[in-house]
Amino acid sequence: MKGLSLSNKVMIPHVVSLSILIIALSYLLSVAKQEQNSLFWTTQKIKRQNSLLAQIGSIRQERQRVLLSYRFNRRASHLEVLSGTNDIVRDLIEDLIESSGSARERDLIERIAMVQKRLTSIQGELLNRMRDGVGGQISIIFDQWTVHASTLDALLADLTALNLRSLDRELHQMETTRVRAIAVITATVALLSLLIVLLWVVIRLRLIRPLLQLTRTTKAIAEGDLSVRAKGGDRLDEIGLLARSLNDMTARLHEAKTLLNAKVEELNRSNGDLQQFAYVCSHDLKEPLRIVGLYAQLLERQCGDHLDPNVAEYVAFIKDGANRMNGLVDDLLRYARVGGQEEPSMLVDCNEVIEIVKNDLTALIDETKATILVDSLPSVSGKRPLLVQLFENLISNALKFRGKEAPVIRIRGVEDRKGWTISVSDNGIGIDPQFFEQVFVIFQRLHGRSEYSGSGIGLAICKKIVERHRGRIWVESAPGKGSTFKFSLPRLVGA
Amino acid sequence: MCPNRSPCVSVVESAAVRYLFLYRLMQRGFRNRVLFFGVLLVVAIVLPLALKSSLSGGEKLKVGVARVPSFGLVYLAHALGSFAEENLDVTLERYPLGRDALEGLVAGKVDVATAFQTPFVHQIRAGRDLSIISSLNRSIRGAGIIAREGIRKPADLVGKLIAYTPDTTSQTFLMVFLRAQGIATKRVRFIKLLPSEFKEKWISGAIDAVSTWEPELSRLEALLPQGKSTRFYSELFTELSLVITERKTVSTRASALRKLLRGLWNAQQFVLDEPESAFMLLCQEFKELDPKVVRATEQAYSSLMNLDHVLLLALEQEAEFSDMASLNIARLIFPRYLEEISQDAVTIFRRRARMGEETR
Repeated sequence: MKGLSLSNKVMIPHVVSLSILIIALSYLLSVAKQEQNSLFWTTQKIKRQNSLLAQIGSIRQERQRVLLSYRFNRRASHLEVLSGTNDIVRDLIEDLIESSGSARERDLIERIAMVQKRLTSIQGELLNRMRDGVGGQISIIFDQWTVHASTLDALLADLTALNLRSLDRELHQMETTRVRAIAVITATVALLSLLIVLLWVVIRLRLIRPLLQLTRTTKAIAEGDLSVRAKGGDRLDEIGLLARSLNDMTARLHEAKTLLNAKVEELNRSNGDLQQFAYVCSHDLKEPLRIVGLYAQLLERQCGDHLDPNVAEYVAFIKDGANRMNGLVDDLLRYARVGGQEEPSMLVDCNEVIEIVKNDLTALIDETKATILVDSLPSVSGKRPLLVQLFENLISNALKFRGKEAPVIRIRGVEDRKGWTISVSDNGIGIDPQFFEQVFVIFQRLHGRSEYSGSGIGLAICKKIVERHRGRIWVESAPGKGSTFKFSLPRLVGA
Repeated sequence: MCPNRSPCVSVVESAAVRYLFLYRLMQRGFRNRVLFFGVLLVVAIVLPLALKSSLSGGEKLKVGVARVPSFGLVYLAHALGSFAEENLDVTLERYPLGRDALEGLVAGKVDVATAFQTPFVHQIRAGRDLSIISSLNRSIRGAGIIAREGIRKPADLVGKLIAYTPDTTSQTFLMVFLRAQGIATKRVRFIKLLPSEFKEKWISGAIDAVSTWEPELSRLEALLPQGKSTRFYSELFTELSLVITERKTVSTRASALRKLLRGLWNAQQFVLDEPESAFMLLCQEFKELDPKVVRATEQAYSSLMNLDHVLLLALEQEAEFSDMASLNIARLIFPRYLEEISQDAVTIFRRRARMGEETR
């Protein structure tokens, strides 16, 4: 039993139950059929024999009546009747012999035939005597006829009784069969009930209980307890296989989690170091830059007009370089801060964010005479400062790279299966599709510094913010036809 | 042991010692324990059977039976051990005639008697409370008349001296025969004789004819030269040999009667299955008879243990001849025990048969 598969364990009792049921039903049907046949043939035989016996008895009485009539009337018609009955009775007895079954029946029928033969013989003798008119002899022979007729009646009664006996036996047999059938049905029901109980016990012990244990184990694993192990791994059936697979999976998960934890820890440490490095670099870089810029200003102020034009130009280069370097360090610092902010996620209304951004950029908007069209934007789960910076970078970018016409910026949000896609479209100079990826790379610039100011970090920051919200950012554009920056935010963001 | 102790205490003590011995034996180990329980089991099975056998084996029954081969089935059953097989200890009390066996039954000398129908009806007429529990055989050539030379046809019996044994079937047969032949009883002379008295008077010519049964018919025939005697039969008379007991015995000795009938039934089966072996056994039982006489008797009778309408008819005829035409024959028959052995053997309609049981 232990080595059987679960399906076999469940199937075998069913097969056994079904077999028992089929055997019991077959037995009952077979016995019922047998009994029905037996009863049918017995009743048919009895019916036939009783009919024959009734006819023989009736003819016997008719003969007696005719004989008595003939004794006094001497009508020839009586003789014809008597002569006719001889043949009829002979045929009836032949039919009786044909229908006989047991030895006792045959014996009785043979005796009936014998007595009948004797009756016919006596009848002949009687008729002769009547014709001869020997009165005394007639009475004697008539007595003989009467005795034989009584014997015939007795034999007919015996055969009838014998038939009733066999009918009794059949009915008794049917009753026995009925009782036996009830016993078989009761035994079958009892056996099947026992099997059902056994099956239930087997299912309960060998299937449901292990499955519940496995469920508990799975739940514990789902809750993070990878130290638990499923029981029943030593079983050879499907449950055992499932338990072993679960244990194997849990062990692997445990191993992977340990590895992952180590990696996460290492990554966190590395990120921390990197941020620290960026801060340190930014602050430490700014100090010498400030000195360089300061001394370049002092040199310009002190020497002023005394400086050779070439030197003055060099000093201007130094100041400009220092300023740019300072700007780059600030941008770098901002970029680094995106990853380091630990504000909790909250439900942020993007319409409010846009208002904040518009407020911050009022001067530039006025200067450029830009129009900002905002459709109804959703509330999303995220970090408000980062979202403000995201929209500010995209809008200022649109204002910066405007075309000849006054910039028109349209902001809209579309809900789809995964969440929201928010787009910021402008009518600016557009971007060649070959640079669609490049624009999001830090410090990458598509234009000369003389054409458009900036360090080339704004879109890189946007990308970093969107990715922090587990979204994606991309651009759709063509040169001279404006750009549309789109970013997706999942329905639940920033956990 | 204390000599003053009662035997009862000693028995208890002895049983206790035995028990302790067995208990110690049990303690010796598993093997001994298995042995002990095995013996216990065998004793538990065998003892009740042995007790049952010893208790029931002692059931005794005295059967009075005429010393004639027509009751051969009883002798055969006894010789075959059919009664012993049924755990019935049958003692056969042999009588010269069935009539005498019936007298023995009435006198309380035997529990069961076998006899032909005539003495039975005569006993009923005398007020005896008897029951027929089965027939043994029947014949229309068992009873007959043997007449000496010169009597060639029934009419020749007129004026002749005919011997018969009173209160036997020979008497009824003679009456039936004479009536069937249209011979008035006053036209013949009768003499009452016992079978043992036939021989002398037959040889001496003191009697002209004898109404009797087999084997007497064959014996008497053999006493005269061949062709010097004539036999007459009547198909109007059926001779029945019956198993009879007192009505009270039917209920008081029910078990023994059932066993008796089962033993007889088994013997009948033997006769049907092995007729020659049965004949040989019968010849051994009746050594005093010529095997030809035994054969003649055997052929005249057909073994048929049953209770049927023909039996009723024969008994009614007998009652009529005994001036008891109003006798309810069915009341005298107790069919249940035979019915238990073979339902087909009892074909008397229940309505009539039941009357016999109701009056018990």
